[in-house]
Amino acid sequence: MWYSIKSIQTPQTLDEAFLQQQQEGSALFSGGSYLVAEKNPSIRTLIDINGLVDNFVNADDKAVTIQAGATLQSFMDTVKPINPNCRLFDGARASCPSKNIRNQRTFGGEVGQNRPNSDALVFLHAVDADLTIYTGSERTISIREWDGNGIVTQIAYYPNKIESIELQRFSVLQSAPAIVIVGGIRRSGQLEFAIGGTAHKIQTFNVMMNNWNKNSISEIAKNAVRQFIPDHFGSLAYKESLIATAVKRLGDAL
Amino acid sequence: MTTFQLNGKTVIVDLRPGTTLLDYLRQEGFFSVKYGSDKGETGADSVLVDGKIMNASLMLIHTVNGKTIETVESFATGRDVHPLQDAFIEEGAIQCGYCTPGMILAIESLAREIETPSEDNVKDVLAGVYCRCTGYVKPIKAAIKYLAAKNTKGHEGK
Repeated sequence: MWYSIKSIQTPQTLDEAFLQQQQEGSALFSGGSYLVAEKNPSIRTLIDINGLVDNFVNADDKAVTIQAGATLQSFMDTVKPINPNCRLFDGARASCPSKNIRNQRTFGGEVGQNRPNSDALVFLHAVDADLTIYTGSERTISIREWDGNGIVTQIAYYPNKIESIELQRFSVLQSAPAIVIVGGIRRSGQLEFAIGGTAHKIQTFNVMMNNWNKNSISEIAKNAVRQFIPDHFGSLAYKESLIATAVKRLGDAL
Repeated sequence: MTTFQLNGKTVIVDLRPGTTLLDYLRQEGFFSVKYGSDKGETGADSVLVDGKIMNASLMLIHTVNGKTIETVESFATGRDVHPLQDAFIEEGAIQCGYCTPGMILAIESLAREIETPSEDNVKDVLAGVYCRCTGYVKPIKAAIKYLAAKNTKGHEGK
């Protein structure tokens, strides 16, 4: 039982949902697995947008388009036959090893919750995915630039604009949330890394291929670790070394 | 008002917002669906929603409107257990039994989804249901036995 919930609104339009969302004590609800798990007592009204966002996935060599209502599992089911090597497939599974939850958790929720320890989200930052956001009207922006305002309706990225993609994670167990997750891509002579994990936020770093060396790796690790905290998983020095290892491995592989 | 099918029967409920499907099922005596945690980590609260395995503790009751819910209570007929339950018994894949209904539902969802699931598919679907007694060797064995028998039977029937 989520005792603080007093009402569930079912807006008929995104405009209505956007206005309702701005009211204090309100939260958007689609898959809702995070929200229901947390049962945040400050939330009193849920705005159910299930009927307002689509839930299908389109994927080919050029573009992967995920409607915000698509679940992690429906994405995996759609993409696997088309592209068995899709790294977002691995990211979705690593983000959520439980198929029960993958059947409930939506991509829109994954992006909206903005959790730095989501492998799928780190991947989307690495590939510089485009988000379609509704804030009174629809606009498309880079996921790296989104401030969290508005309703996510679609996520898209373009494999044909990326020369290669890799994902590396360090966790205590394969099925446990990762301490450090690094996603990396190579495009236009540049290496781009997104770094998340048990951190305050996901950060991105770009390095020109001709500047790729030991110094650039340690510079990235040194800067990235500032968003991490020392905890029972390890000290900051330990995390910095994990980040440096992951970045080196990815950079070399890319 | 929320209307849904529960184990083949139409149910209409009007419950306070914030009620989870788990709250409702436990209140109505569907004790195969268990409380594990509030975060869906254990899968003890597994149910089938339109044939897909999901966590009842993570579903607010209003979201099941128009859907079909199945619990293990619908699997046995009188004293005859479901062939998958039979496979669990034969393989000794049960100890305390807390996770067993969730495992049964998870494997059944897989059997309906994929015609010939692999061992990896079985492991993947069971990853959402925690067992702290027997582990997974025997349940996986039972699942493979059931899925193989189901397939043979299916092909014989064709």
